Amino acid sequence: MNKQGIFDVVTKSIFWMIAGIVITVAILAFALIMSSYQNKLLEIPPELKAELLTLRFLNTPECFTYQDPVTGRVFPGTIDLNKFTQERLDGCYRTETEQGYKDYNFGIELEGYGPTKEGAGKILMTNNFFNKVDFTLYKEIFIRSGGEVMPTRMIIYVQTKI
Amino acid sequence: MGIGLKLITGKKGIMPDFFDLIFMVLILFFALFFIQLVLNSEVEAKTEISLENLDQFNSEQQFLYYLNYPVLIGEREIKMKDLILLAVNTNQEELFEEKTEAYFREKKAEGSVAVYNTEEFRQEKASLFSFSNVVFGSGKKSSLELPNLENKQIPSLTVVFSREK
Repeated sequence: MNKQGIFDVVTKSIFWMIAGIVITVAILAFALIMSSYQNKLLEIPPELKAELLTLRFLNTPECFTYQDPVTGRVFPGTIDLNKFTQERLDGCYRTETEQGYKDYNFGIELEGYGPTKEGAGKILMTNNFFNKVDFTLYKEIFIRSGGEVMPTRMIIYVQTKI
Repeated sequence: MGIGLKLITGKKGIMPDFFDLIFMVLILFFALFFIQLVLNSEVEAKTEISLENLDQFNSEQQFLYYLNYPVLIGEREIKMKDLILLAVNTNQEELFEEKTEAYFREKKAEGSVAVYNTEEFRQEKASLFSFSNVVFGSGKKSSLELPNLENKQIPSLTVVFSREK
């Protein structure tokens, strides 16, 4: 190989070394963009997830919803004040003791009503709720206490994760 | 000219190829930037659609809440849906307006409610009663049919409800 030949090989080598780095970076960047797009596409908006999870507080008799003792009819959106207790909430929604802070946790308040008949404490909290409120949901509900039905709001403080 | 300098700036050196490379890098950079922009805006649009559907669901819930809202007629407490039937059957538009206005005032909300004869609603005719405290409504509309057993002329009512965010 003559001098010119060696010169060509060296210039080509240097060029392709730099081009190789650039092409690699471009491929990696493209892969990252696609992967972040895929993640975002599969992500459920936290508001939607919280709405779905909190449906149980309003609509299931196993949580707080009023159920007619005679007919068994469930009244969605009507809260039985006698059922609005911490024990009931613990049975209705519970996250893992160890890692549960990574899940959605809720603080629940009935506007104008304490959680117990004695009114001890104002907010019912799920087991890993640490008052880090990410957003709040307001639900218009009816409260049934004795024979009376009164309109009020359920305020749900949502903690998505810590 | 030394061999090193010739390697870089010479006619057959790296520099001429290097310009092509820099040009290619710029094109790649803008292409990737554009791809990311398009994909991100697509995701944002999809999230917005999900949240709008959620609004529709909440609007339906608020509508049911409105229909079951307790109102006082003299000493008697009845539900808003019964009041609507009563107002239509006894032709008391002012009663419907008064109680609906009180509802929106109490909830500090803006919205509108229109009551139609179901037959006429299907023919896109005017409403029997209506209430609105908004100028330009953009809230999701929900509708429901109420059977009216006491009035054979209007056997069914359609109530259309919308509430602003």
